[in-house]
Amino acid sequence: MLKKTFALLTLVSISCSTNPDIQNREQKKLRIASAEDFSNLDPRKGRSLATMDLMHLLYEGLYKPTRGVGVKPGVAQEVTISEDGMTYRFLLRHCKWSDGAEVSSNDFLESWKSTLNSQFAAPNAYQLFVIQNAQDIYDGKMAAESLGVETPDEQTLIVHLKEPTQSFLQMVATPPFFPVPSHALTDELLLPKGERPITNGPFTVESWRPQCDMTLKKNSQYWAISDSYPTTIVSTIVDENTALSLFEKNELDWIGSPLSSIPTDAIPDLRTTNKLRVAPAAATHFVRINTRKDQFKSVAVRQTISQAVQRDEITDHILQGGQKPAESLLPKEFGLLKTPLQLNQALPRDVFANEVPTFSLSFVANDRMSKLAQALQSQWTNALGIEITLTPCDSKSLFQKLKTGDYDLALGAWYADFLDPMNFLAVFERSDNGTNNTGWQNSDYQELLAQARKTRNDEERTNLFLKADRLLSEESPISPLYYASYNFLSSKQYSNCTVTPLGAISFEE
Amino acid sequence: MITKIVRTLVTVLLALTMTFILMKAIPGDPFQDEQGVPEEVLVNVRKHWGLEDPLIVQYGRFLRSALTLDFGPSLKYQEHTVREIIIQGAPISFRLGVQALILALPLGIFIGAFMAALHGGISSAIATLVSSLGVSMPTFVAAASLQFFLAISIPIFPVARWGDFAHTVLPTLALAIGPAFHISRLMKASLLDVYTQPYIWTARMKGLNEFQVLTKHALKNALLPLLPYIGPMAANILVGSFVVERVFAIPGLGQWFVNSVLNRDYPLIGAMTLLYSIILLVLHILVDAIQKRLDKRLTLQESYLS
Repeated sequence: MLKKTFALLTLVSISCSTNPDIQNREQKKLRIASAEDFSNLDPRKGRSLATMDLMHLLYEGLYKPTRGVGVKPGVAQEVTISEDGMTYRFLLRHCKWSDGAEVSSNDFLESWKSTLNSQFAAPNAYQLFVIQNAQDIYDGKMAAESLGVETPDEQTLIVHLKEPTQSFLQMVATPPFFPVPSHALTDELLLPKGERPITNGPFTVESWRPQCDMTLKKNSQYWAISDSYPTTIVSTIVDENTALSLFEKNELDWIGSPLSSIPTDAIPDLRTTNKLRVAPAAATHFVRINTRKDQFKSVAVRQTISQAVQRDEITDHILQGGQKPAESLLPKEFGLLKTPLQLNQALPRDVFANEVPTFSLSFVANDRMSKLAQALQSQWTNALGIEITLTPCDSKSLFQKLKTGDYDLALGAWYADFLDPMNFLAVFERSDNGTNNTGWQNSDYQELLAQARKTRNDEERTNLFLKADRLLSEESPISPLYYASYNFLSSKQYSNCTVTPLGAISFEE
Repeated sequence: MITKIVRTLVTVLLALTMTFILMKAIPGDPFQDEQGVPEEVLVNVRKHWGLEDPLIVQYGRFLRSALTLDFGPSLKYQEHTVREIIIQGAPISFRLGVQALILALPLGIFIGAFMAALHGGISSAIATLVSSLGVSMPTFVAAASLQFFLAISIPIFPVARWGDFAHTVLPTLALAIGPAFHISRLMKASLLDVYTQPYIWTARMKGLNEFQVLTKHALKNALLPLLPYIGPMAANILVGSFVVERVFAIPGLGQWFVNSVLNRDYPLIGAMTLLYSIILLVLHILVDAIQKRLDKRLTLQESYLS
């Protein structure tokens, strides 16, 4: 009897250990550091980069971003685009919400309709304005039913656009276009509160302790679920220095981008020991030059200020995190070939008349930005003999200053919502764009972008973008500094995972 | 007693009013960030949260929230109400605070008595130097060094995060160091003062040794001047410390004193002010009562004056 049991036990233990690889994968847990709590679980309302990243883990749109530049089918199985580029017919696959209900075309329509309800107060509403009649609905001039979206059946979604939009597939891969479980919404169109949210992406929320940690579990109902996803993700809110210590003690698997950052002082060391991982970001950091101020009305002055910056010195010695010097607003990640801009090389000191001007440089008072501002201060002083006073402020005060035009020069950045040159260039299309804040607008520039919107020819479109990008550099309402990168550390187990240009963790191999 | 309560309520009202004025005066908007939202959308969002109403209406709503203890959802963390955030963080900060007080009070009194006993010698100079260091060391230095020495170099305690008792040791120490040394300095000064009193001479002449003089006669009277300091100190410790909670990744309340303002999260700022002022005032009343109990002179003085 004893022998028999023993034999049986051995058998069981053998069968358990036959495939240690699978066992290991089944228990794959990702412990990740987060700098701040997620603000929202609703894809219609999320704003911060961390929250957007969470949305990509919880939900899936019609399309989803790949590791590189493109997008691939998500909930949509295939798409048919009309000749004029104004109508997109999506055929949805049969896939499920985490509660077992089928994802239907109506879930998209309801999501978009509620976002466009001005009472619903979704800050991302403007992103949907590409859809026919969307803006009029938001402004209350039309009924919600007139939205240019049709749902002939559960599996078909037809979207009519306001104008041809080449980047529409990129856009539907972003959270404002994600579906919501329309069968479970409350009367106020909100997600049901209190219970675990119903999701259609690779993960669901297991638990959430505000300002402490969030645990995500793999969603067994997700159609594309694979072993490359961890079974559990725990994101804990920790200070960046503490996170580094925890990582070194093997208590965290992933620190830095996209949910937190690496302490600037640690970066040189981590680089030399080859621990620092770097992924390019679809983002450009720049100095805003306030063209509303008299001293910056002259293009020559702005060009001089822009040219005096030693960009490689900033990326190589100040930031050291694999950032690339920026030649213009558009990063190279979009496959755009560029001829470097040759402006008048000699720096004309005499553009500043006779007196030595004093400009203030405003920035968000954190470690990285303070170092950057000091470097710029000395570069400008050395190259142009001008005086720069540094004005550090908290982020909300800086945004207020930018909005009211109460600054001379200010550090800023643009992180793309979706991967298309238009998403960068449109920022400076109109002076009332919420991110422009330089007071600059230019009819030639607007014309180039308008043409780019109309054209269906890719080559022509690229050329128009290049022209616009060059015009922006010549006019210099901003001085592009560098193309950002994501810096992070990951344990060996996750060396195959990376951060996409839009800042989401990608588990798919 | 009733006048005291009325006075307290008026103080809370003043604190709330000041807070309201200040938080509306600082520039910035809870919904504006680097990726600018178009003005028309921003206005709708602000309208939804009642931020476009006249200030007097907002003030009225603010006071009503304070009265009903219901500030609604946080503007930044909209999935959570302000009440949920406070109920989640308060017990954690409170526990650390109580532990730190339990440590700091006896420790401070002991060091103070020690310094007073040694007064005048070279060892007293050293003790004074150490306590000066302890008082002037910023919390972030204390917290970071404790973490470095006792969790990273010699891994006795967990580096950070909230869990069992072991996780509370380093934060408790970090919270207790400053107050403990502060108490010790007050204690020393107070004891030295008491030692000049005639009844101490009497006690010594009765033949009591120094230890007996201290415990039976000097200590009780020397503790009295400490009480008014302990009230506000306890209030500060109980609501949590931004720095200590940050370094040790503790999900307490302290962070909100800074973060709610940085986020311009108006309801949360209001709730934090209310909470802090209530704790502070309650402790004040408590300290007052204890003081009167222990020091009969105060009651006499009061009745004499009236």
